[in-house]
Amino acid sequence: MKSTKIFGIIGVLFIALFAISFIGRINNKANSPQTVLADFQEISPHYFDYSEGTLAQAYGNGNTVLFFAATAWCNTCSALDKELKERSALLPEGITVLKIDYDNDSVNKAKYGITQQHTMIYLDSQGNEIKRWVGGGFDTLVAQIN
Amino acid sequence: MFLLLPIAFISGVLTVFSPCVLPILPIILASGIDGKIWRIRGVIVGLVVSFTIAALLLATVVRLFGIPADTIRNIAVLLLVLFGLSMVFPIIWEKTQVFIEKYWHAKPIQTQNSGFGGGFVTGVSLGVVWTPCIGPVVAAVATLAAVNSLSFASVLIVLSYALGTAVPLYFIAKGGRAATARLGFIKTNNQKIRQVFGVIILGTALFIWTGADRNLQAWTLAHLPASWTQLATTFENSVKVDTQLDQLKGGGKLLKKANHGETVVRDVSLQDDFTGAKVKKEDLFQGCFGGKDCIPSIDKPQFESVQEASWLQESDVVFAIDYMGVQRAYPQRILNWHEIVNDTIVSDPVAITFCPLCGSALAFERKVDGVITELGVSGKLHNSDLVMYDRYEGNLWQQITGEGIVGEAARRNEKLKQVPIITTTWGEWKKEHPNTQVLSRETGYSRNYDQYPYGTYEQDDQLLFGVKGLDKSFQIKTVVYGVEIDGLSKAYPESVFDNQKIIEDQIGNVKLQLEKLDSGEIKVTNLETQEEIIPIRLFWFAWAAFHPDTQLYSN
Repeated sequence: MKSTKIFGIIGVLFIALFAISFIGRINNKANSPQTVLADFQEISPHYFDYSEGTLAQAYGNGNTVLFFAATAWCNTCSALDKELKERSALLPEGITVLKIDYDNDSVNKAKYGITQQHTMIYLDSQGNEIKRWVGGGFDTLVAQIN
Repeated sequence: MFLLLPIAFISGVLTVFSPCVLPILPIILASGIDGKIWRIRGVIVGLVVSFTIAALLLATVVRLFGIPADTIRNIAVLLLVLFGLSMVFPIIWEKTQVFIEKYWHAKPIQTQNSGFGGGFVTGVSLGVVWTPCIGPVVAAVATLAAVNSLSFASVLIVLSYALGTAVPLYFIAKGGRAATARLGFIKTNNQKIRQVFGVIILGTALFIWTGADRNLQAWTLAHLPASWTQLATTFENSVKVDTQLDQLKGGGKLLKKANHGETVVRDVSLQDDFTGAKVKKEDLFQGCFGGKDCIPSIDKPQFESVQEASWLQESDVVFAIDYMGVQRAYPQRILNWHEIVNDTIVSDPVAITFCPLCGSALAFERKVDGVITELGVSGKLHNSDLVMYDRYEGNLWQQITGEGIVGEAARRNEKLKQVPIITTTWGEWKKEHPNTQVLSRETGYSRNYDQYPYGTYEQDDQLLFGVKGLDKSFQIKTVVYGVEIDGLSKAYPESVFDNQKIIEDQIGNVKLQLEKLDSGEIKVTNLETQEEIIPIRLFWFAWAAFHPDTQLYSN
């Protein structure tokens, strides 16, 4: 049967795609550094993985907070992530950049109305939103918070 | 702006070469599997339409209805699954048709099965789940969408980006069709082949639903050189679009300052920086779609005489001004549809403003930071009240308080200067002022001024938009006169004037008199200074929302 052949080919293709994607996931996990303190994960100066504790501490210190809804499949996010890791020390004192997991953090996505990857939300130290924007690299970020 | 359109288009074309295209590629490739060119067209058109709408409105929908974006994405995936299943098992589709005929007594439109409809549904679902990575131009539009500040320009830009992606996708689909046609064993227009397409849709849906597509993209991204995956961004960065983007994004900081007394009316963007704002961003609601001027203000008002205005009924509500010997009446029937009239009275710039949802009419001098300009409808609402913007800096202004709430004006703590205006009936007003001029229905817009646009809103006790700390101590739409003295405020229900023309009362330590004149005006006088105070006539809930500590008069 010819059509059986086609179904077969498609089946194999999909299985291959799934295989690649899950290898990708495992690789990503392996590359990420081991969590030291479950609730406090500094990536580079001023730049942290999101956690409630980190957010509370930022507010407690009177810091402004910048949310960065990032994900590994978004090329512009990865570019900004890389720039932040290299240059976050240049950010002014009193700002905390928190990286939100765009794929899995549905709580914060709903809470802050994030509908697109690479959404940036700038909040004052009381948690009031000052502004938001989408996309852009490190220079855009610096221009926006100034 | 016009430079941005071709850039968005090319950027769309280039996006197809990034890993972002992977999740939708199987369906695109297979869409012409049975030789049907119309299915390919259906998929592409559906994709363009739904991608454009999703990119522009997803943020607004999520905000207004509180549906998480993930839910919408899952619904789209479910739609894909259902459609895929109905392709694999045609019996599902046939049963659905029988069901529709039986229970709705409606015959589904008999289409020749060109495949367009099915393709379109597939494309629409894909447009929702597809979130391509975006360069600066589309990111700027996405930013506008995220802050609910859309303009016609942003619609055009997203559309041209979507069309850009459509071109290579169309050729990829046609290529797929040509390739399958070459495989001799595939007969066109064959049931089995359509089932294959169904299986591919199901596989893709599963792929997307498990998030495997994102892993695949991430993996590809990590293993391809950035010069390849960032093609669209690199292209956009190579063309100098900064100035154009700044114009698109607006923001007062980019606008040239004018001198006091100058007149500036320009195409501003609404200020969106909430630094120093008087309201929280989340308390502003989008009241109408299409961004600023979604309700058009009247900028070239025409006037007619009492005789010419025979279309007005005695009982029609008018907002009336008696300004340096000139009397003008602005019928509510017209203002319901326009909310703002940018008028000039005795060479003075005056804006007449009316919020139908709050029943409040106020007039202001049209001056922002000393510069003469116009006011427009921002499309936003705060506590159901009209939020205006000015055409000089794009600041947002609260109608009931006249306060600058977002933008430079808010940071300057600026307030618009009020001009006395009264709310009365046409009968009362024209009897007292037979020489009054009346705003003409020749507004330049075609609206049915005989119709009230908000149904039973004025009579019922429903609100259309959220109001913070809603005070229900009264029927919320009771008409009151609000008076403010030295930071203290008091509301006088309109009905108290039914039995008495003059009321003497006190707010704080200040004695005052309220008198209902024959023209219908409620004249409020501070008895200590003999100064006149401009009262605001509006619905109780709106007064209470902006004056939470207000007192309430009772006799």
